[in-house]
Amino acid sequence: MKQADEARLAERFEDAIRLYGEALKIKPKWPDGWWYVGAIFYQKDLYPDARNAFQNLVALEPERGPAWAMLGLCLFQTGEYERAGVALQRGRSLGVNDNSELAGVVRYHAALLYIRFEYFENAFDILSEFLRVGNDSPKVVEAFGLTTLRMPYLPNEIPAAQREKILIAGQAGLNMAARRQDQARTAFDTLLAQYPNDPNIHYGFGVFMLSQDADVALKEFKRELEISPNHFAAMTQMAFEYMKRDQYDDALPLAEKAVRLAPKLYAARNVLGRVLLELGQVDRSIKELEEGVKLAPSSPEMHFALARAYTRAGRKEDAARERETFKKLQDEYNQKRQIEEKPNPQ
Amino acid sequence: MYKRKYLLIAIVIALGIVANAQMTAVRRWNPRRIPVDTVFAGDQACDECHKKQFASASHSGMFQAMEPVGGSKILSDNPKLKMTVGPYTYEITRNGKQSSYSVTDGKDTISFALVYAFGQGKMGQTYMLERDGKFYESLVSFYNEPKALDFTIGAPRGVPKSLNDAVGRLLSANEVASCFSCHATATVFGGSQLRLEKLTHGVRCEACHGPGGQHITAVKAGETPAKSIFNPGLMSGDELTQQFCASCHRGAEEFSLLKSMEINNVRFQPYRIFHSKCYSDDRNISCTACHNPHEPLREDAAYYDKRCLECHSLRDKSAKAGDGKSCPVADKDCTSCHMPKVEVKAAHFKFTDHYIRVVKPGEAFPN
Repeated sequence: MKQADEARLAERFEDAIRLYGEALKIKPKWPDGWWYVGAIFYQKDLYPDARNAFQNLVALEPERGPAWAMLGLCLFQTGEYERAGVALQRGRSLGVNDNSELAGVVRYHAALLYIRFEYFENAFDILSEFLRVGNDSPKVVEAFGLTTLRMPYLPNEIPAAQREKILIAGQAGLNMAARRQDQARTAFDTLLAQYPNDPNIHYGFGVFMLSQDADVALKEFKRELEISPNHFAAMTQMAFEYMKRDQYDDALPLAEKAVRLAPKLYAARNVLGRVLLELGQVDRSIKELEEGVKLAPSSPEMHFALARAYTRAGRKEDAARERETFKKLQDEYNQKRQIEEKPNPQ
Repeated sequence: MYKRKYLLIAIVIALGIVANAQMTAVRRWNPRRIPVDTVFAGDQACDECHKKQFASASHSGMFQAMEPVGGSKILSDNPKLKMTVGPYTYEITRNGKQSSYSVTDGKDTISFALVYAFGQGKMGQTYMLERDGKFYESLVSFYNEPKALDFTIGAPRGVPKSLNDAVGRLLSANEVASCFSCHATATVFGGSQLRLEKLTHGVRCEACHGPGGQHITAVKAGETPAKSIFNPGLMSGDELTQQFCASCHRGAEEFSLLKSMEINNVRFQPYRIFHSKCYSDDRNISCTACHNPHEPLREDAAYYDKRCLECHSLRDKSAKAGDGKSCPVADKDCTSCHMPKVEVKAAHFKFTDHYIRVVKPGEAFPN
């Protein structure tokens, strides 16, 4: 073990791999051994070996966040994307933040996987974290572009003909996340002028306009539906906006169709449940909101909406339980944010 | 004896049926979701029958959430307000029934006739300025405690980059609608249509009860009047607080989306009270349990003691009170300890924190 550590510190990596391997045969429950050999494999692009090492490590120490993070990165490189997504998320939730470099790499890859699996809103939220640490590198811009245009590509899969559009959309998305409205608007105007009939551009612009001029946003979502008739995200956004306007009869068919097209989209269940509640269809509302909570158990607003529906149904204990869950999730979020916003002593 | 008992049960059942009927016969009303085709009857129509409540409500903070500049007491009592920020000098000047807002850098001056004054003046007043169809939030506001101008809450407190920036912040269409929908009545329809020609200053009867036309017709026809007007008082405690009142005063859900963690959130009572241990769906802990929206805000702590004692017991158990936990320290002035005043320096005001709790000495403001 000592020889393995010495070889690693002297950067004799071939020797270190051999020596760690021998030591781990003798003492397979040596967490640091798996960590170091995994890190060396990763550094040498030997991803399947690195994956196996970190797999052994997380089996020994399932609460070790950086180990999950490294496992996720290895799985990403070996193309095991679903498992990679789970591992990266586990790493993020357990915490790798005392290692800001690793945190950044994990954040980036987690966002890429959300994009690949078409959870674009989650990707947008994760990418927005880069702005808090002042990172607006070309890679981050590109990822923002993919999520703004809802293109489920990994960076190496981007068709050359789409690259320019993605980069402009990236500027739009990044500036929107940074609340630099003028710059975001300029980028969206360029996109709309150059690619007026391409899918997702009107939707992206609509999302940007929602907080500023909801009438314009609605118009853009309608235009998007002309281009992409099954755009369930546009339907969901429109349903939310109609609900805000007391136009439940307009909201209902859109929300129902969004749920039919994307039954796993919790936001669609959320809006459908809320609209049904406003229309007095309490039982149906509860069914949709319960499904939404199953899909997104860590979403505070889902629990809040379900609490309200239970209240309407006279189910006081269930409502109180959902309110408590909402509070708990909100407190957890606040604590996490307080930690993230603490000035870095370095 | 039995007859009286059955009569009582019959009355209770009948009242229950009426309450349910109200909730089903009258469309649920949301103060900020006004359908495009809504026709309001106007205050005077309400005043004809509800004189006592109308008279009392007209002195309430909500009624005065926005005031006409012509009759503004704040602007009349403070005819010349001035403030300097770097090279910029602001002036709000009264001339008869009119007021103007101007900012100058010594060379050029931008002036606006004041038309829209937001706030009753208890804390302060902010102005919305209009030019060429665009609306701006004034960079400086009047504050009551110093009787002077200072930066509007939320506005950047540095020296503006240009004279144009010094005027104030350009408001988006959503923001304009949002301001008017909470400070005025019958002004924003369909979520975004601004009908300033119909502007009624302040939060009036129909802002909370919905349009009264059907109700007036029903009364004239001799029908049960309660069936034809929305009564927020019949909502469950949580719906009333977190949905109805929170549509303007801001509730827990909005904050879960905004994720704001500043001390300024003490101003948003539904959000704060939601975190209290005693918060529930019970109407005894809803906004209207303590505040009658038809009268000016009560500021004497003793008034609120009665509300606490609806649930909490006194140390002297023989006295009339609830059967909940009693306070080991005092039997009165509950709010002075459990709902401390929190100073928001930017607002020059101390707000009552509605997060009801056992406050520990020296604790940081809990978000």
